[in-house]
Amino acid sequence: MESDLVKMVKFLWGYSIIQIVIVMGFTLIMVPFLTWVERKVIGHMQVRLGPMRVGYHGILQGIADGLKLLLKENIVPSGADRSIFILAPIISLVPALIAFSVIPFDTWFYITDINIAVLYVLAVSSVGTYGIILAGWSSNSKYALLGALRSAAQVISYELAIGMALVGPLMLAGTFSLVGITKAQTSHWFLLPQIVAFFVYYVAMLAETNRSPFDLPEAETELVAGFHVEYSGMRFAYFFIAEYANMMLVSSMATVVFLGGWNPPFQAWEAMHILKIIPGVLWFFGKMMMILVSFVWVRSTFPRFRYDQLMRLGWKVLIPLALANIVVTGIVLAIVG
Amino acid sequence: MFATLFFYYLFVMILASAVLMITRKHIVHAVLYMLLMFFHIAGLYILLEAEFLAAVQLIVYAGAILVLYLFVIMLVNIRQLETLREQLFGHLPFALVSAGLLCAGVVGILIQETAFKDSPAAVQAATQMSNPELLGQALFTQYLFPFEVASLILLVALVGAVLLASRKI
Repeated sequence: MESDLVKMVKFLWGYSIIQIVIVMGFTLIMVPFLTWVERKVIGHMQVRLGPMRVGYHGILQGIADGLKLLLKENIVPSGADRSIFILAPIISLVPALIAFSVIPFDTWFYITDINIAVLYVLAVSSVGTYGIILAGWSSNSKYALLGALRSAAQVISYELAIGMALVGPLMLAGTFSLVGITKAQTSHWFLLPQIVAFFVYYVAMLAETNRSPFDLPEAETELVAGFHVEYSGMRFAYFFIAEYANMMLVSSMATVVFLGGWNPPFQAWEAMHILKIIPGVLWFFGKMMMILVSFVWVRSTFPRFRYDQLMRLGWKVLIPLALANIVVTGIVLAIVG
Repeated sequence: MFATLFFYYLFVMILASAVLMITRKHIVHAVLYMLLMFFHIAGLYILLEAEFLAAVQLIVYAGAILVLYLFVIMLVNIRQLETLREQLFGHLPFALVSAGLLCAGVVGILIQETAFKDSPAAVQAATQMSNPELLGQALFTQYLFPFEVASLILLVALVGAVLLASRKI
């Protein structure tokens, strides 16, 4: 029943080095594509065309930009802490990439399944903050330092909200393993019973990835470009890739934890089992792209938050909401299950 | 074989990064070596099959506490810290006493382990706890009281910090 192509992919999948190359390569190839999607979607929302020149409707624009950045000179500003300045982009990119090792894209399409996968993702992505702080500090520039300070405070505040929002679905699934969480959603996704957690997670993930309307660390009207203002060439590109890889990471986490991962929708109804014809990878990819496009949609719709509003939202709205959600989920589970 | 090699790698890296951490002139470099050390300690936990502890080590220490350290370091004037460095060897007696106590504690445990032969079972029971589910069950049944006391102490510290900060404003 399976085509030869699928069989061959599954055979090659047996070797972990090939798994790593495929997942990493896919992530890195997605980045230029996502930059193109972002510019295109924002362009059309603002009633203009966006990139049109390179390739069909500008689809190769991201690759052209990448090549340009590769050829540019890498400048280290005078007075910068040279070793940390070079280290910072690497620290911010590597955690974003290695976190993908536990994301299950399909029933067989994942590198590894560990019993603390959710904690692993939280632990690894919290290290990415160092890249931003060190970049801002080592640049020896006040704009960069201000951006880094804002980013540190913001990421610490919203990491709590993300962690607590994930507790609700974890209680329903009864496991930390992402494969286990996806399997627990075969008939019903956690989106509906955990709609509050999803709301908290969605807002917090915008803040965690420093995306608009929470892009204070790089607010261009006040801080030029924030923490990466002194970076040029490929090192700047590293931060760029890290930002998009992080966006993909948080949206894959949202897909796995709330939107059922590789599971097709409406599986509670017998008639809808026909949707299983479409491979799980495509379902996963579709859900992830939906969330990624919503990132862009939010960016072109909402104005930026003020710093005190940002902190108030994080500590006084999202964290209490997430805590209340944990309590309610616990009570319902105690009564029903 | 692999585990032994990995252990010696961790052993060398933890010691090296700890020594580098306290000898670096620059305080941000010191924090980075501390980060490196935390990572290798997490590796040690994984080697002991305590994956939950490893993840929590990274989330709490590397992800939150050390970021706060960096945050504070950026806000203070580094030149004021120059005087602190000169006092490094002034703390030598205290350091020697506390290191000696720690050393005595570790050696004591080792002697006890070899004297009473029931240690393998205890170690096995501890490694089975690495599963987050079992750990949670142990924390909320057998060790509920110590667990709640620890959280109460943390709450007291939190309230105290808020009180100290709000008095100044």
